[in-house]
Amino acid sequence: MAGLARYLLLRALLIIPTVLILYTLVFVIMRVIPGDPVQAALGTRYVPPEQLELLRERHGLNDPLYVQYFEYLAGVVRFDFGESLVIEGRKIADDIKDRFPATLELTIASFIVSVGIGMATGILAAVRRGSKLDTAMRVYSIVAYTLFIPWLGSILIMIFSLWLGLLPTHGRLDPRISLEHKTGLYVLDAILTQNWVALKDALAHLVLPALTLGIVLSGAYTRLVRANLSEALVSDFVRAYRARGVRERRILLHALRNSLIPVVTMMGLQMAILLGGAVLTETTFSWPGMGSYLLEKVEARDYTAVQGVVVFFSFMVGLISLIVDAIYALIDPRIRY
Amino acid sequence: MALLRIEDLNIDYMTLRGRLRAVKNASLTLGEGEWLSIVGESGSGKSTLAMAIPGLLLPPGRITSGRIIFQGRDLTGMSGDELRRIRGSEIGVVFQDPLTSLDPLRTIGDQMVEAIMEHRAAGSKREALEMASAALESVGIPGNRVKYYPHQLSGGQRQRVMIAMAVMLKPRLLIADEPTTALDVIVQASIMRLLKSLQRKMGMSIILITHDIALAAEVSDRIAVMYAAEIVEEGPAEQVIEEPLHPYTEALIKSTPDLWREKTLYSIPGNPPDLRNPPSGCRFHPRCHKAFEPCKSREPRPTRIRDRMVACHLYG
Repeated sequence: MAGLARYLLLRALLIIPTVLILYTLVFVIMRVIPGDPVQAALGTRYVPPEQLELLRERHGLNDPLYVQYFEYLAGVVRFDFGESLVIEGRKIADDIKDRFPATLELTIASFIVSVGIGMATGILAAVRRGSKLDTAMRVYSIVAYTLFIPWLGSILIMIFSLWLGLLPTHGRLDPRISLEHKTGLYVLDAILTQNWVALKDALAHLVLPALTLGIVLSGAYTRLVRANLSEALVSDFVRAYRARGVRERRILLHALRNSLIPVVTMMGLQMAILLGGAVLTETTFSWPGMGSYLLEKVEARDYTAVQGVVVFFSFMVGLISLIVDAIYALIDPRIRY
Repeated sequence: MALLRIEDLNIDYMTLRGRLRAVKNASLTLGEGEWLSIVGESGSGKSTLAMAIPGLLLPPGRITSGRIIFQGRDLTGMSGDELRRIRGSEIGVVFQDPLTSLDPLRTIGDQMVEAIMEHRAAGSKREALEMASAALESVGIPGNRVKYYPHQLSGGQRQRVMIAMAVMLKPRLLIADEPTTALDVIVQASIMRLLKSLQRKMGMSIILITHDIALAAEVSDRIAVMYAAEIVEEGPAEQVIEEPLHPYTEALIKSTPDLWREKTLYSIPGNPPDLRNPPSGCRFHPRCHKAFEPCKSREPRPTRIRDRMVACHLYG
């Protein structure tokens, strides 16, 4: 296990250069874009030049570039991403603290849905390869993959909210229900505070967005699991298991584990993308997450906010890839660098 | 009584381009403790025939007729689960490529213990692990290697592990499908010696599938020669090698390289036929230098000569 610990430590250290490179890129791009950030943030409003100068000074935009670079970096280490250019005194880190839990909650829920559906359909297709069921699963995967999120979301809202009246149409929680926010993940908060009314309501709000996003993402898993598992099922070691009289159900599990590496890779990629915010899902269901936040800030030309979000996101990507690497090592004993 | 009797076995592959008969009217008998080698070129049907015995045909392969009588029971009529119980306990199988025949993600011991527990051959996992390490010792691998993953072993060691897995429950029959093809010559010899000594110690029967008739000559009691899905000759190893009856067997022996004979290597003219569209009459006749009139039109019937069998018009 010493090998594994060393491997994971190395992987963890690799996050640092990853984030640094991303931060540098964003920093450079932000400075290369033509136009004055302060003027852009204020839009067409007339502001006296002295006041513009004051704002620039306040945000450190008059400092030499290398000073700006390192000062921002020093802030990032303390989870300080600077202040909003648009809203006076508003800390970007606070915005992220507000919005990120919503994204995380939606990510986890839709991840469970997509992996659940994708694995189940993919396994069925691989085990019954060449049958009608296989064809049905493949058609499902293509249809799911090509669905447009706002369209699917609207259809689901129409059925479950408008016609059946079972589920709410938007938001995370009925405003009449009070809930103490400990983590910002409403489902978790409700469980922690044993607030069962809030739990039921938070879950009800989560169902449709998670289902919409989960279904669309599941199609890719179906295909990937089907392809890799059906290959594993005809491999030599499966035949050798059979030759030793091992039960088919157990063989299926061993084959599945052997086909999991590419699936875990895709899980990591998807998770990383989802943590950056699922813009379409969030706007369809008025879900106050990172995706809609980034959209608002880009529209408002709030440069520091955009920069902060991207740097934060690069941390998340690094973290996810560390988790993926750890899972690789758990699955495959040959992976120990 | 014979351990294994194959009677008129036919195996078809249903392919998109039509039905392909991979094994045609095969009949064989294997006695207790006997070593039979099935020799033939790639695609002759030898592996298909051997894999059909323990029910390990890969789809779309299917037994269409015939019987496989093992210890008095017909294996072709058995349910999947009945066959599963026989595999690994009464019939062991060793495959061609030891590099891909072990699950790369699990230790040797885990894979062995699982099979032992499936056959309820041990009362506890610990007992099963002791059996596994004893089985490794019996093939010349230190017992503590049960903790190893396949990638930590060499090719030759892995084939020994595969053999240990195949014989650990003391099967009556071991099927070895080209067990040394993927290994170098030195390791090859040691693996064959190992199989021979295990056979003697345990008194089991062996079916060896090989394209190497010289190798078969060294180790076997009997040899069966297959050509284009048919068994063309079968008999005691010495007799088949010393005085082959079928022209194909003769050609096969002639095309074996020999270090001490200085001459260019003989090769059989032409190519093996397409099994979807085999030649009329005797399937070997287009390549046979002894072919005469009936060979083109009539299929030769298997003829018994003492305890040998040959399917050729020269003898019937």
